[in-house]
Amino acid sequence: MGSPLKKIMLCSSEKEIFSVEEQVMVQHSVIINNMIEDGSYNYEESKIPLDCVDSKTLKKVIDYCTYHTHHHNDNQEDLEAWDAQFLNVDSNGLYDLLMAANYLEIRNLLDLIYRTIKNMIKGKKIDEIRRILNIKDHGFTPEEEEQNRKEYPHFY
Amino acid sequence: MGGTRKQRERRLKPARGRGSLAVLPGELIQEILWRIPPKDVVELRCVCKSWKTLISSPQFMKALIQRSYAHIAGCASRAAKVMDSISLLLASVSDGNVTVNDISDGVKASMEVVNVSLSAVEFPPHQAVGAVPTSLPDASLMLCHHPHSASPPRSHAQRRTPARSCASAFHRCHRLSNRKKRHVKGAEISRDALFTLLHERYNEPLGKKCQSEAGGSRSYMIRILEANLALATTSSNSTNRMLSMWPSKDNFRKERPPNCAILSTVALWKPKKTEADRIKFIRHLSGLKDVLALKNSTNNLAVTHTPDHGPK
Repeated sequence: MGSPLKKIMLCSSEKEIFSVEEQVMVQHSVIINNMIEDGSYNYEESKIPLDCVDSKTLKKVIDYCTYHTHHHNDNQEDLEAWDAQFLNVDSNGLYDLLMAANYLEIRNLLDLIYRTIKNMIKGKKIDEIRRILNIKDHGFTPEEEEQNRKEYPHFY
Repeated sequence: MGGTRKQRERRLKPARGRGSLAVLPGELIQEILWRIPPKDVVELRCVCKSWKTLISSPQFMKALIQRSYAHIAGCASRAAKVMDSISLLLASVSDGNVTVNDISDGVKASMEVVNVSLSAVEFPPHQAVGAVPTSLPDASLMLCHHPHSASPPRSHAQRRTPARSCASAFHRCHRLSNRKKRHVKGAEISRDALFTLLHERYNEPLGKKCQSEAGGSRSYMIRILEANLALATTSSNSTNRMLSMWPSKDNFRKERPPNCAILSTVALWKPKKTEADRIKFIRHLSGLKDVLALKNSTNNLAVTHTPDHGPK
């Protein structure tokens, strides 16, 4: 692993370039860690293309990794508060983050998002969950839907 | 690392383009659903078709059940540990330096166990207590997603399991109560938690062994529990009031309270009370020779578990 001050370049889907401390990404992202370790990254000229991550999301992901690298010694409550603030985004933003975290394999962030979504839908009725997750087409035929409603009225 | 980058991109592609959480790839949805208690997952089938397909698949159910087993097994062993520390506290109560707070941790933790085990999908007893089974019978898979049952069926035997493991821990308490004295760090006590715990403990059908011990009517149990609660939750409670809540001596003879109830009361007894109060309390207790052997009157309130036989 390189020195902590080495920078790597990440390129978003909009071709915007982000320069990040290598240590930050290596520590959190399995994919980038592999890339650096197997020597396929050239510090002089390589940019890591992240075609499925837009600039806004990438910036957030980098924020997350940077914060957690520099503040991992903070007490748990502070970190949780920061995480909660960090994930205070709409469901589309959450989706983008989840996809980015999945793509880059950032385990902590993934876990955080999963937990957040779980809390969003836990204990909710079906209709509410659909609204929260923005599910417009549930894929059931009207008959199936009607039967579900008849069979499990307390879910709705 | 879950496939090459190319595979990854292909996998991500279809969901791309202003996606919503509704169109997450199955493996990601799975991760979320695994974090939800099994009995709640069942109803999420109705959210949308792709979820239904996922949740109804045998692979998913199997993984889900295995996770729950691990959870319950973990809880059971934690409960046993908690009960062990309670028993150590029971033993050290005679020191006079144990406070109510000391056992509240234990009570709270055991509450958690009771809650968790009752709210989780319940499994046949012989499996729930053991380790994660390597293979599951189809029948137990069906428990969770049988199309005609809104929630998994609960038979008596299944319901009883968690309480039973608590009960065996309580039995260990008795055995351990004479052992070495130690202290456990405390926290704040919750009235509801304590009440529910004790209530669950004494009213749940617990199998032959426990039933004989928990003999006595329901209302009678509740009186004892209330007395315990009074002890646990109010610091200004006078001994007289506490004793008035306890069943009278005559009633004690007729309907012996479970040893556990007495032991927990002893444990909850505030050592800070005055000497006179203490003596009064102990005198009251000493009417129960078949239950408690009280040694050295005030200072050494050693509790021994005597064999289970009726009052003389």
